[in-house]
Amino acid sequence: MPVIHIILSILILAAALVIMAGVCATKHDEVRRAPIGAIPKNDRMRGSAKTAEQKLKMCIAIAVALFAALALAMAVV
Amino acid sequence: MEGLRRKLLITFGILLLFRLGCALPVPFIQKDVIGGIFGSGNLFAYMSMLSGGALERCALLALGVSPYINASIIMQLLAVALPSVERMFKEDKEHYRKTMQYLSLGMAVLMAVGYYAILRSYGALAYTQGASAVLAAIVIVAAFAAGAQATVWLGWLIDDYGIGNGVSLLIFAGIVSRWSSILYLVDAFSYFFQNKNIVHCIFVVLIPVLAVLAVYFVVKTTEAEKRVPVQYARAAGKSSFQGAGRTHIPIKVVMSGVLPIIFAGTVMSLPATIGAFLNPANHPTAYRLLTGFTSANWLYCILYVVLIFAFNYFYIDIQFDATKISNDLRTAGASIPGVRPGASTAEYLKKAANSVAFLGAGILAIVAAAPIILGNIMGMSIQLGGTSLLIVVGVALEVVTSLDSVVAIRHQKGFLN
Repeated sequence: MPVIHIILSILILAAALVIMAGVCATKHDEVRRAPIGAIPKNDRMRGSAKTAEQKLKMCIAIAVALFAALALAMAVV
Repeated sequence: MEGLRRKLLITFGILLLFRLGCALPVPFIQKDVIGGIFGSGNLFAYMSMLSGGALERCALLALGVSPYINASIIMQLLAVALPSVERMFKEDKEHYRKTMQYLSLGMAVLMAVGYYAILRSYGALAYTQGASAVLAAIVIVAAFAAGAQATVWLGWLIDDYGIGNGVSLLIFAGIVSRWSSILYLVDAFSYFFQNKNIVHCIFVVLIPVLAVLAVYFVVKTTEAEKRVPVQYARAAGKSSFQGAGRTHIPIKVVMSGVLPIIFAGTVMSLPATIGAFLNPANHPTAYRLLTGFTSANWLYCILYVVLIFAFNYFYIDIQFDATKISNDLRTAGASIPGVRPGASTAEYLKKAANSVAFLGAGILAIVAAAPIILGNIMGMSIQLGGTSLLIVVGVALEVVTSLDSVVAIRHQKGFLN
């Protein structure tokens, strides 16, 4: 296996692990969704500071973007 | 309307991302080799339908939301079978949700390993020996499993920032994306016309007409409900005499939705799925029997319908909690006219649910079996047409209701009036 494939594989694995762990840790309840237009309670209490849940969502978003970009790179090289 | 426009744009954006993910390939797979395992009415064909064809392309989001749906169904069934899970469902929703999320990940890994094994048996892997093969195997399994988790996450983003139920919308997008194959009808028509095969030409022209009629039938039956009258003894802000209000409990005719068809389809596709793993040279008889048990077989059609009826009754039995509704009615000071509160009301509601269950199962059987029978007559593969249609109509109606509720909040009046 070429070295570039090994490096990309390890990066894909890392991104995949973040996605798998992140989605499991996310608190999501399909039934009890916030009313339309409502500000999440934590945001009101802490002003502009990001909550742990928001940071987690940001991490997953970055990991998903990386995951897709790396898979595309792997298909190209 | 700014908020609604934003929600719609976010929803379309996420659906676009989902479709892009369905086009990105998983590394180390030669996808051209595996075309043979799809399209023979087995479990893979059904899974490919749910993923919008991503499974056939070995894409990152190939597993789609299947692991999440499977985990959700398993947890629902366990809540009926095991008292501890039932207690968790009623008293500790957070724990229940968490368990389901981990089960979903477990299902994703399991399905990814299974799919990897199939790819390996078909010789579709780029590396099969040494350390490279091990690394490739880990990357493939991780990519499929993470893809499934990412799909669920996209669905949750729609839940939070978009319109409608995200997971349902992703399935909807996957199914609708495959309907571009309707263009084949034009090719088929020109082919039959050139060969002067008038009977087949008429059949091809009839398909769009039948499709419109089928959509109308499914929309009407999805919305159909039996209304059990309810009498309230009092209402806030009015005297007891004037405030005695009448309303009803709606019992959907197709209460269980598409699930009985999915359960029945999964059971019926097992022989063909097991047959796909067999080597015809080593087990010729078993291979012929298992792979021959497809929708083209009339025994298959009969068993399919019987299973749809059985699963419909089973699902309504575990989903429709007549005792709870009866208790809720008593707590709210309501009753069904002519029926005593308590056990009698529960019994009455149970009978009402069972009375529509037969009709519901009949409708599901028609929707599921009609495309199979029509496909057999015309020699076309449209066996999953009914399932797709039920899912698409159900999700579309749900989205319309969500949109209406958003508009109603702004203008106190929805576009459905």
